[in-house]
Amino acid sequence: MLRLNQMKVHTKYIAGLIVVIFFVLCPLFLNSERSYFIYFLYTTFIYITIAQGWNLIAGYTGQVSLGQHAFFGLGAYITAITWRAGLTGYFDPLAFLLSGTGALLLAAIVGVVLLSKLRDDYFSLGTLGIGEILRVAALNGGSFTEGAAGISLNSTAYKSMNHYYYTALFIMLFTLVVIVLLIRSRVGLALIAIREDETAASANGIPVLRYKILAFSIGAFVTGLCGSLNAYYIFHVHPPGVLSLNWVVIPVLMCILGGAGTFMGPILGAFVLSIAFELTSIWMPEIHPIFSGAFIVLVTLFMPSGIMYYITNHKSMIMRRLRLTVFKWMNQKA
Amino acid sequence: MSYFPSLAVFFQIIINGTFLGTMYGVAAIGLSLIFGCMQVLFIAQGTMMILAAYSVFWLVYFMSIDPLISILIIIPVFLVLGWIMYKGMFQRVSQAGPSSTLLLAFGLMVFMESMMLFIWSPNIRSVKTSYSTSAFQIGDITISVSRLIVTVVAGIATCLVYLFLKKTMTGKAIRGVSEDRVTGMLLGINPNRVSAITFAIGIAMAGVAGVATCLIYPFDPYFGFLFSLKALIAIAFGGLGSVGGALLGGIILGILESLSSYTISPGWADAIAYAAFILVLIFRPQGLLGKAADKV
Amino acid sequence: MKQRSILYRITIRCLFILFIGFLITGCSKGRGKEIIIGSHLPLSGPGGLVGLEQKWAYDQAVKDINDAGGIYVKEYDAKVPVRLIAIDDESDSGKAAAAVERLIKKDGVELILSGSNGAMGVLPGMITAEKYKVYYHGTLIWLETFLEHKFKNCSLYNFDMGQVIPMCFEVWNSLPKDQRPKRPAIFVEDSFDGKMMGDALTMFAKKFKYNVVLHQSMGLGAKDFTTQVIKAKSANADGIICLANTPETVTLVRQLKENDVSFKVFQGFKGTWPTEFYKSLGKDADYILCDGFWSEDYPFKGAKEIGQRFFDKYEKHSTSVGLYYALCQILFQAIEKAGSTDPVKVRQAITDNEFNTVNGKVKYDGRGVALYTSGNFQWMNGKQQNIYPFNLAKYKIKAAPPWKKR
Repeated sequence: MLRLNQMKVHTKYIAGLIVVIFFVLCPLFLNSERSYFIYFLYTTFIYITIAQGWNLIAGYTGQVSLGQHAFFGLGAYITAITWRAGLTGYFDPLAFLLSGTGALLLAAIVGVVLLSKLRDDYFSLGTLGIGEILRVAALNGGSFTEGAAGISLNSTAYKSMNHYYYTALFIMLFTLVVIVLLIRSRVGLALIAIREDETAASANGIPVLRYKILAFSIGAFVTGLCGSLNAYYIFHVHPPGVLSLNWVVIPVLMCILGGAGTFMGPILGAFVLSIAFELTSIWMPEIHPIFSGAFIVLVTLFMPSGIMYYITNHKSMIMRRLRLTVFKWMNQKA
Repeated sequence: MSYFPSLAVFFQIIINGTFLGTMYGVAAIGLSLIFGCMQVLFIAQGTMMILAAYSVFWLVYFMSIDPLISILIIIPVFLVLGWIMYKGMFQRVSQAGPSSTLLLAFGLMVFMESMMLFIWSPNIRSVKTSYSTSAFQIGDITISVSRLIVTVVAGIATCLVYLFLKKTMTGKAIRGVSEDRVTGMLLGINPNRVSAITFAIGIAMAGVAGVATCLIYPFDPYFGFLFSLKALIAIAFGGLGSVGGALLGGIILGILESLSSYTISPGWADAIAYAAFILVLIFRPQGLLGKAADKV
Repeated sequence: MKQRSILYRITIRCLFILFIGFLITGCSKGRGKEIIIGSHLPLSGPGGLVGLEQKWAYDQAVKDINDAGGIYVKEYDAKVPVRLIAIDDESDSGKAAAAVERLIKKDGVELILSGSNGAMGVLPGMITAEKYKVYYHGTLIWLETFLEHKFKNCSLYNFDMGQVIPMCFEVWNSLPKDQRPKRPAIFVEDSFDGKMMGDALTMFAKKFKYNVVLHQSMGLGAKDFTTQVIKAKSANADGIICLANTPETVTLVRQLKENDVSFKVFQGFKGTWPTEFYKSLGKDADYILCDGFWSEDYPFKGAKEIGQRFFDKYEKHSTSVGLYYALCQILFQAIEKAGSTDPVKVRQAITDNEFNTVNGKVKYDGRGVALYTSGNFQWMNGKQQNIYPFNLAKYKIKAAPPWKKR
């Protein structure tokens, strides 16, 4: 039994490693300046990161935050402002660090206030409010944020898509590793305990608030990193762009679609949703938003807890059908 | 009072705020009902309003009836629509927890927005009535006729829903389920039936709000999302799940926005509303008006 | 346990298959003898109103050139038909960048026709095109913003802030002295355009010796403007310049009428030109001014015809389709003169030549910028009457009577 278990873990690691190596090698085989596939992966990596950040606080800890766009936007703004002021440069690790830390600090402050007082839907609404306040603040920030005009960055600095691709890949891997380590540790158990029953967790000596803030801040940190990368990509940081509700809604969709509270869920969800959106907009350009909406509705109707739960619950059935299809297909071939 | 040039201006702002707030409030009632009974944050409420507004637009366009009379057609249609939506979708999904219903509501919102875009094109539509831009004066205060009508309609609708919840058996069952689902079931209430009724009423209220929208505003398919956001704030002000509170919460929000927009700047009005919203959530999570256990 | 690992492998295999599918779709480029031109337009989202007209005009231009057999390209020594790939950017800056990425990388487009919506569409589009050295044939973005980014592969055919702002005041000055507004109010929305325009308006008002009595912002999607109306009333403003989307402007005008606040001149930007604006307000919209890129009454070849075609299709007049049509004409003529579809050669041909369009003669300068004069219109009986530029306009501005005297 132990052997089997170990083998399973090994296959998992090996499979993961192969996928990572595949991603690392992708730009070597494809011209990243002309390959849509590279760009597609780049955006998906960003979405996976934000979705995992959200997964940590909402999926594992059970505190549904709707304010991730605040951290994303803050990261983008910090990068833009420090670059404009000459404190950092193009693709400066310091800028990334500052952006992440800024988002982390905001999350910690917001967390101390909101997480200690609000629960469930109240917390969701509160975080939504934080994002909107930040948006209005950026709109009225005077010469510091340039208001609605936004901060234009030096777009001639652009060199290669590879930088973006590898940075996004690195940020995603970093996030995944952090989350795996966290979930495997005592902290992860504590977080899940908080999700399942907060009172019981607190009665068992878990410092509930501290752990909640920890999860919230880590999620914010990686989201801030993504915001920073997006500022370097888009070269124009303005409120409707970086503080758009899209930056919370789409990752949340991906995470729920894949299965919140599972490790593979957000990854799977991000790929499935991105591919679905892409394919509908390629195949049905006129009416693609209708299908995007219908897709979300259908998935929630038939897999309300996400794809991962569906897979784990219907494992044997899926397997049987897959085998049957493969069998039939091979018979036909023969 | 030094902020205001005269008392009349102050009252004018309060009245305008009330009118604006009624729009938020009427959008919030349905949201509040649905949330109270099922813990579903139905963010497609604003989009349902716009769907109703487009329906009114067609009724006015093809049958040339007054938008106010169209309420009589809109309400039953939306009651049925709400019933179908609950039975067909939300009943299934609500067992999977709040985040799934949120996702479903969002999917519905995207779907309906794009359907409306497809059917009615992105061009704005509007309904023009004889009273669209008329107003009358009381002293120095101007009162807009169409907004007054909307306020009256919202008041009547709220009263009817309130009476329904207080006086009828079904209404009592809804309140019972809202307070404690399990006890309600023990007492022999079928929570699915009750939820379906609540959902239908909530959607019908979106229909009323839609009629109100097209009396005042021109609209396009994306016009409703802001109403959903503002309605969320309104129900937090009034206390999540309370009907009268939702309308009052909307009015408080409207007045707050009008006052801050006049005294500080229109640009900051939104931020102030959100900040007040967070403060209310933190210090009075039961709402500004509600007692902790009082859910209507 | 064993089953799970098989499942795992199969899932990963499925993912791989999807990747490979994407590699194939990602690598497929346009081939054959046709000129592929890409465009990203706001077909859904708040900009959908503009995107619809723009797409119609692009489609007409492409249809017209293909009916004539296509563009003669020296490289192929033949007339080559044009194919337009117009995709939706959902009126969002992030999606616009993504749309241009897709045009370039998936569809293999090397010539891009402008999107819309300035900072929400054209700017991210241009930045993205610049990254991959693809030619972006742009319009509808401020000259200052265009120059700030030092684009080398883009061009701009647009009106200029230094023309459109003085235009408001020149039009005011063309009124008899006693009918001119003296105390203008400026209402601008909280957006990129609103910010840029608000600053410029304040500056130019001083130049023209107008004393701005009120400067107010309007929230995007805001539903109530009574506080602004009250302030305009107490500031005793008698002229207004307002930049906002159509629903907001309609709400503002309705509330102005309800509160009996009359302006001698209501100069609208952005929100007042659509026919839907007039339909929502009816007679109340008379006398309101709107900006417009072009007029079907201009004496240029084809202007009347394209306006008529638009009217036949949608039963309304447009003040913009001519600009988009002209934009296509410039690009097609440039391709013919370059004798190639190579982005660098086409851009060179753009800056070297002069073009005849439905919007007059166009000559780009060395920076890749051509400026035209934006028009000004006044709503009168359901049609936007052209009142500016003075040399082309057949109609003269009338000051609006107060609400009670209408």
